[in-house]
Amino acid sequence: MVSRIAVDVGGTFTDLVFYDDESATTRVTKVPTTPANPENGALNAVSEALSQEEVGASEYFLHGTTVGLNSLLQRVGAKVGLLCTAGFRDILEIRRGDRDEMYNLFWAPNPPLVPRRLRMPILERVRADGVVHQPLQSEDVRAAHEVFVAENVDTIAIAFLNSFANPSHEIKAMNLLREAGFEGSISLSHQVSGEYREYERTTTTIIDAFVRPRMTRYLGELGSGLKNAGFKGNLLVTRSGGGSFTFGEASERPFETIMSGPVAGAEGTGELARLLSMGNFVAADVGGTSFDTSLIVDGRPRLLYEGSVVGLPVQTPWVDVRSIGAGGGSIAYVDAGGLLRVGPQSAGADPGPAAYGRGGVEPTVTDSAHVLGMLGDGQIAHGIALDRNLSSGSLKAIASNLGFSVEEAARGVLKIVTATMSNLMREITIEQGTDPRELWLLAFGGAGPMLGTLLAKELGTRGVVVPPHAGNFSASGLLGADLVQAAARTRIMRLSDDNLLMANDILDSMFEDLEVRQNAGGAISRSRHVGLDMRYAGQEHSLTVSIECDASGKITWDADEVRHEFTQDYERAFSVTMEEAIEIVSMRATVRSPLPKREREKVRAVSERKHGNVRTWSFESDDWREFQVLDRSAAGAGAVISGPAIILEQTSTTYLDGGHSALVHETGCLVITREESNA
Amino acid sequence: MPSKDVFIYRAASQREAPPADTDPVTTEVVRHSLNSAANHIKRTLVRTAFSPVIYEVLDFASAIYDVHLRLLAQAPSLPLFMGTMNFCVEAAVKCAGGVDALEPGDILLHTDPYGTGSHPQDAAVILPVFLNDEILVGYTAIKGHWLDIGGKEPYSTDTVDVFQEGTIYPGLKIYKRGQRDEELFRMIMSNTRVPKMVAGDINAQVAGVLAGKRELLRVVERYGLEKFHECVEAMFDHGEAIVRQYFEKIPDGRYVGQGEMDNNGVDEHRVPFEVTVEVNGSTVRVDYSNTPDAQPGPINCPLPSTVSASRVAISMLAGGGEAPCEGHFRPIEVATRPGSMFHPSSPSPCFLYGWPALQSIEVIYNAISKAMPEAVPACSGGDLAALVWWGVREKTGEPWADGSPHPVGAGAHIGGDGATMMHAAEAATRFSATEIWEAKNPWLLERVEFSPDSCGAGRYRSGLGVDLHFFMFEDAYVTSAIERSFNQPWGLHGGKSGRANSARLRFADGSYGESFAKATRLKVPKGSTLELFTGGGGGYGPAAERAVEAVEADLREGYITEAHAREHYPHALE
Repeated sequence: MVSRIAVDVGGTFTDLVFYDDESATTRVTKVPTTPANPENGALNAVSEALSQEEVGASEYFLHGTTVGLNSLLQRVGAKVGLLCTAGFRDILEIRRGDRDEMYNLFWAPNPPLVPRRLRMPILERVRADGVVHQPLQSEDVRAAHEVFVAENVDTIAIAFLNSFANPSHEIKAMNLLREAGFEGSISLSHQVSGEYREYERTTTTIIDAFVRPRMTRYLGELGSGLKNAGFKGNLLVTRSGGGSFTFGEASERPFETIMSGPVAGAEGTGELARLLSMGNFVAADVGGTSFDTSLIVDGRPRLLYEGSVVGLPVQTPWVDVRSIGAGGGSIAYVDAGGLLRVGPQSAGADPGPAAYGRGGVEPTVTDSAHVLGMLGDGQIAHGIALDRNLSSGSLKAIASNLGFSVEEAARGVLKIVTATMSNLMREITIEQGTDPRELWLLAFGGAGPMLGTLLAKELGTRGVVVPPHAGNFSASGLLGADLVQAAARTRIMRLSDDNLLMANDILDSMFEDLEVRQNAGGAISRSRHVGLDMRYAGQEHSLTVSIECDASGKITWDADEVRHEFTQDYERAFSVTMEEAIEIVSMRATVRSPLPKREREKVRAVSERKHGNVRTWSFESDDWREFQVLDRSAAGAGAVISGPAIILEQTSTTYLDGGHSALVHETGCLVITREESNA
Repeated sequence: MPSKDVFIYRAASQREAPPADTDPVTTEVVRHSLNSAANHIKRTLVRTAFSPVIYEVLDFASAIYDVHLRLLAQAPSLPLFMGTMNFCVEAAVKCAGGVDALEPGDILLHTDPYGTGSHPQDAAVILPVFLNDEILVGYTAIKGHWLDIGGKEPYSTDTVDVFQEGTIYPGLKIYKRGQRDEELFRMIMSNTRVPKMVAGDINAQVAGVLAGKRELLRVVERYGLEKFHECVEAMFDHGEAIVRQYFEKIPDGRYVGQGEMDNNGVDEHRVPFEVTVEVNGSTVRVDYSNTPDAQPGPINCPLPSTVSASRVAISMLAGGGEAPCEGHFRPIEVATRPGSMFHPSSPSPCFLYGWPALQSIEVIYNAISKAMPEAVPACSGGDLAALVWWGVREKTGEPWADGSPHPVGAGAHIGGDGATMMHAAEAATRFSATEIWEAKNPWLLERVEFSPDSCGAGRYRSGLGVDLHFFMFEDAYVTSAIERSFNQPWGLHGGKSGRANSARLRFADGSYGESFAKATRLKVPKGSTLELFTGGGGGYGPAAERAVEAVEADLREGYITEAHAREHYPHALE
């Protein structure tokens, strides 16, 4: 009984992947996203793809959502009131004083999520060490409440200075608001984040209050819709920091879902990497407008502990997925100085690339690939047939501007877009002390398999892996998401055996809280994990180091062993080490419960459709060549496809250049290597 | 007025014409890779640095140069350092005995203000990059602010020669063939009040330039030296074309901007100066030749920073919002008069070089506004409003030091109101979080908040100035480097001026000290509070044209008071 349903809501399409435990098979569906009420699209996908019995027999519903993210992007959310420390009313607007665009003289930040009149200063003050410097003035809270009532505020955020060291004032202020009769939700900064830096923590708390009503309503509607459809299992949503948690928990901590969407691809890459046991991976998720990448070391993406969205910091665990505006729809142009540039502007889904024939006229990456034959005969997903006249026509202007032929311009566009993507992958890789040449590149998203071999060459990876259902891979990534709860607390202290004992006491109480939250039901095993943020005394930035602990979450290493681990990690990241003493900055507690294992589907060859050859540009031989065109489903496990070939499937197209071959792995993955590297 | 002793500085010109068929695709790819490499230097430095001035404030620049000292790429960091780095590399290499004296594995340290353009605390660490340990292909360099490098105080506004300002390390090899010079290192540690922090920051700078070396070599190896050179030339041409196109739109002519320093830090009198911007076709000359003689106090700006200020002002305006390379600088000529405060010579004191440099950026925009008021913003708070703190902790006896610039109001412009942020000369700079400050330093911030009415009124108003109150738990010392305390930031096109910068002490008994701007080693006793008031900016357009709804919103949100509205926007209150 471990059948499960995964639904990923994207900007254009809502993807469903169903794993049927009986037959150990997966099924894929795509329906249009319904932006006004995204739960409808998700429910449509379920009713379209699954019978009532299948829904009723499913144990888990796994979900990746962009509702929180879109709420921030569109700035549609709750009317939030803020209680802040008197004298610090403008933290949101003063920020850290920097500019997002440093060479733009006229840059200004977006207006704050809470206008100044709803940011109420409260006389109170806690010092950095937790000592109360100025007791809370209850009158101020009551006066603020009256303003909030008069202004019809939906939710309230409370963020006082140094509350991570002593939360009593935040708790007292919340109680006063409740006594005064406030019934909306209240977000407390020390519960949202136990870490220091007031601008970042205040912003995160406000984001929590801002997206909460919409997220709660959305998850409520989706949950009851699924219940009506016969679903009786667990409802789970992906966290920005990886893993998943229940709908109930997500309604309580909605800020943890902001990156839910993009993270699914990274998590899926991690799971696949653990399954394949081929070493470390870099994920290349090429969509219509954006390129997302993450590095998978030892089967897991890296976690960061602060993210950023639309220029706002979010102080919560954050899977290190980097994104740039480069994808199949990215528009190419010649800039004022005469260089060919690609993106970040995108033709998006509407009108889409010129070749779609929906009114787009500007040349895109997809148009360029089409001109070069990389998309076969141009029958792509969703019944769209590309028009060669339109794609080559769109490139004429830039070609003549550069003195190029249309094909030369198209090749230029692909070279630039792959270089841009490769640079981002290089940055994320070498930053972590990993050599790209030791990696496999996992290519997915609608346009990933088309660019995979070009990216691998630019980056010098060992090869490319194209997963099954590559165009829906983010949704299938959800299927394996563990249940995760995590918390952090800042307490700056020297690394010593005594202080590790103190850390264990703090971790103990953190784990207790987490166990209460980890209530998804089902007899699933739980494991506890500990991380310590550490640095050399005197530094500010810290490294998070995984620390060995026993089943109860107690650190089992002594100070010397912890020091050794930190020093190794530090050297790997920065190539140097120091003689200084080491400090612990924050403790991180994680509870993880894997979902039951699922059987992998065996790949079998199915009936073969006949396709002709297509004249396609070979970047390998720098010339036009005849590429065979075939269906991906035509090759069973163990088969080897030799390039040059164009491999078609439902939602993406793989470009397999000459000199490359693709082995069909038993998992259904195409494992692509250059032939000389096999020798 | 240009006279025969005027000195003209131009960007490094192109060495050889690029082949006509240089490929615009590979050029774009190389340009991208170089910027990515410069970013990698920055990230490594920030993550490993010890002093908040580097990791939080980002008071540094990281850049990559070619063998001809032309800027290949720079990571977004301190703009005012941006244009000085070629001077740093050139001077350091010269001091070290020239290019022939460089060997693979060498790393140079240079702190001579007349080579770096900065005060001695701004230490340049430079790594010559060799391909295959043989061919010099360029340099990776970081100029970063150390918290202390000796000198008469950790920070000074009243020095009378460079020797009071800090220790000068002239192009010394801190690493020789990959080995650290331990004797030199001991010497450096002996000449700073905070050796641990400086040791940590040197380490971070070395890690940064090493990371940059690996990345630069990767790009060169990927394309081969010949192709790399071609692409670089084409990349420079591209940057040059962008800036030239901008200036072709500005009518030819000479435009004069006026500026003034409060004083020179030693004498009381004000120091007015003017900068002329001369547009001739697509070339722009920024002319400092009509500025006063070098001053007896530290507001002299060595040539590298004069050139840099001009480059910052022009490339921010005309660079299309992108990271500049050497090409962007080619249309810019800088004219100076040797012996003047914008082209002084050693040993003229120059500790506050950044303050006249920063003023000159505003003055250049003031000049350009006379040709095209819509092209530039009104004056900002016009200062870094910097405070540098130090003391000895009561309990442990450990010395501590910290320092930061603070945000000011940005000037309004034809596109809308100004916001509040760091001065454009420090555009990527951040100031510390109160909670980080309080976890480290013996103080409590009583207030970090907008000051209502501190903005310049106009059709568009400026950003607001900020009030910061630092309450001391222990005795501390501060040097305050604040400029524009007399001159309010000017409005543009009929806009009004905003609040000027200032500071004062409030003692434990509630009494106030005199208002001050530049002050060195001021004692802030335990129990007293330093109140810093940063400037607003200038407004744009007549206040009578401000939309009624905008005035109402400002009142509702408390950005302005009714009195301010009555004075400047009576039309909105009718």
